[in-house]
Amino acid sequence: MLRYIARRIIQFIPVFLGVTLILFVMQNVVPGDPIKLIAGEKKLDPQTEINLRASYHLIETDENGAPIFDEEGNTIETPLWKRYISYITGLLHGDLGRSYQQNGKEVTKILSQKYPYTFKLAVVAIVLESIIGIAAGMVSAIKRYSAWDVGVTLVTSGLVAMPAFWFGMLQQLFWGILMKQWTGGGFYLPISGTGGPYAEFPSWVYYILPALTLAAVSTAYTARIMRSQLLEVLNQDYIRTARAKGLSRRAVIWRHALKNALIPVVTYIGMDFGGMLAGAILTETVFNWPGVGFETYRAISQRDWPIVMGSVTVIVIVVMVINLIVDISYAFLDPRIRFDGSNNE
Amino acid sequence: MFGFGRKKKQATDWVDLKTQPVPEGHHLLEVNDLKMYFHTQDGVVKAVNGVSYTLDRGETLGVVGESGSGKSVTSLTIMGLIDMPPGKIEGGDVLYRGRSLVKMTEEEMEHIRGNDIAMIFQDPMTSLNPVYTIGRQLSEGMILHRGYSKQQALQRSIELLQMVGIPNAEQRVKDYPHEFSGGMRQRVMIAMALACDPDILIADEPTTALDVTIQAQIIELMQKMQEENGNAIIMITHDLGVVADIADKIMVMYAGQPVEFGTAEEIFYEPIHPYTWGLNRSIPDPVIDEKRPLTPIKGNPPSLVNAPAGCAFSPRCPYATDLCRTEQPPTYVTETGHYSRCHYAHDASFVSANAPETSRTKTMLDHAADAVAAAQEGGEA
Ligand SMILES: Nc1ncnc2c1ncn2[C@@H]1O[C@H](COP(=O)(O)OP(=O)(O)O)[C@@H](O)[C@H]1O
Ligand code: SF4
Ligand SMILES: [Mg+2]
Repeated sequence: MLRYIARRIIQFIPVFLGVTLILFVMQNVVPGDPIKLIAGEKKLDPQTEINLRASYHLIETDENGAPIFDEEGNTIETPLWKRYISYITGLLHGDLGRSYQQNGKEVTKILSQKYPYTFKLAVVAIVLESIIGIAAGMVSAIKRYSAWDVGVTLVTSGLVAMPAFWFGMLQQLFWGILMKQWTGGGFYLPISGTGGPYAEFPSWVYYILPALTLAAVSTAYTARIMRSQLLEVLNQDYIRTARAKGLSRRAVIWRHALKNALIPVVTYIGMDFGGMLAGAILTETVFNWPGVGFETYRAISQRDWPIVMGSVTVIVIVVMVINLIVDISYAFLDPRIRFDGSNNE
Repeated sequence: MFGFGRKKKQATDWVDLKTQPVPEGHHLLEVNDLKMYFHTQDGVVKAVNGVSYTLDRGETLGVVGESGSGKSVTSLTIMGLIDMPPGKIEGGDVLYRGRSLVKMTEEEMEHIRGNDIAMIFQDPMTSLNPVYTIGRQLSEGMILHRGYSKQQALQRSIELLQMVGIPNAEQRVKDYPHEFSGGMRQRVMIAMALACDPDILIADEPTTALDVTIQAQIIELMQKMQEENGNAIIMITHDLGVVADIADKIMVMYAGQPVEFGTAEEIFYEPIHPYTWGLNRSIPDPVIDEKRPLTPIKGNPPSLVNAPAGCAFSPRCPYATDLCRTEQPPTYVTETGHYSRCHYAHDASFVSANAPETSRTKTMLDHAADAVAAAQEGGEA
């Protein structure tokens, strides 16, 4: 098992380097000079601009951090490969650089403020997705072709077809605006932000709509996977064996079918959780949710590359760790899978 | 299909039927004119259409027929394991120790299954749950029907594995199905079926998916267990050769109907139905001689939805007449209970003129026995 984990981590290194390198190159291709953007509409004083570039190591400097000039008196741009190496070096020391826009604030600090919001939202969404998705799928499979099953099929088809941000906006319109009008302000849900000490609602209420939006499409997929898996498992020979032993239908479902049917569902939910931890850019933006997704979106539009690089770095690592955990959890659900390198089949 | 049932009643107020005497005038198992039809979009599939037989403890019934002839559906109907709908019992009855299984509630059937009547299936590779240990799957029935604790059940599982010839049973109970070979898994299935000491063991093509060498070992094991436990066996197979050695009675099925039923001697030495003749001729002979080449029955089984008007076998029967094609043959029964559904079964001259020669000599059975013996010499993989 440990060897398997070690092998996976080693395999991960080139993927990580590739992804970050591509992003690094992209910074130079995307139009817009991030340093000039710091001043916004105003024109940046040339000396300040040189100092800024020097402090972000975008131009060559001497040991004291003073910019070096060539014969014509121009600054010398630090080559891409050098900057990439210093990014990797920094990363190994836990340093993700400083933001261009937010007064040079450290990226690690910014991310550690944003990540809890993303994480909490993802956990709420994944809990909703697991409970609702698995339960709906199970009932659909057990009561196949019933009104319930038809209803679930219709709703899941609708959700799968709907873009998440649009679904989020519909929710805002319905629960936040129309509901407020219809009830004369008696009942409605917050549609933006996370609350706080002086907010209208207790904090948990702020999770409802973003979490529902984030979970909607995946819940639909979870329900569909669960339904089809359970139906498939219920047709297996070992289910008939269990029935022939005298187990009741109910016992057969809970003891024999469920564990088998859940294997692919758990994989899907695990991967989905990884995706949510990567920051739900659309959902967080629609709901003004101060997580990494929203932050990354903002950083991209402002060409705040250190934040983009930093969050992508963290996201890639998180997704990789989650995938590894999902793969390992397989072994606990399915005894046929072992990580000793040999194949048992 | 599968409902969330209410919590099952405890086994305490249930008296095992296998401990009850068989009532006067009854057999252990009586199947009377059983009919199981499937109502599908394409029409009514008459999968089981008038099956009758009786079975007593210690006996072995061979059920023989081509694939699709209704052998599995017959036994699953007895077990109450056919989903209804699409299935529907259109008539007939199954009496176990004088009690109708057809009329039992699902809850009562749960006591019967695995306890009084157990079943093993064709494919041992897929018949065990891949995510649980063998020990756990063996224990389940004993915990359910006998009220054993987990510990007791595991202990008994080890003994059962030893009984069916699995080496190193103490260790093997902790293994998962994929860690066993096909033959070993079928042994596990047999151990599982016999765990609660059932009256009847239904084996649905238990050796079809196995190597020839292992087939004989599995059959031998079932016979040995039968000698020890005294249970009855219903052995389902598409190969008459498989039951040659072990069956007391044989029912030959064709298109959902029993076309001939009799003792093993009658079916092998005095068959009176043309389909049985065909089966007899198609037993692979270990000593194939030119005079009697392997003769498979030509043609395909009929559709069970639109059965031929007359005898179901008439499209393939070399002796079919206009009468055969228009009228269903009656059941002709001899004094011994040997019966046949053929218009000409009563006609001794027709039978003696057309029955395969070898079937009236003992060579057929001897050859089959030789084949089994030869196979037994090979070891299990
Ligand atoms: N659930 C079902 N719905 C419709 N037809 C079925 C169903 N189960 C079995 N049948 C049909 O019943 C017939 C008998 O099947 P079976 O008993 O499995 O044959 P075999 O003799 O090979 O065991 C087949 O034609 C099969 O297609
Ligand atoms: S009834 Fe006619 S067709 Fe049918 S088996 Fe007998 S001879 Fe053949
Ligand atoms: Mg079958």
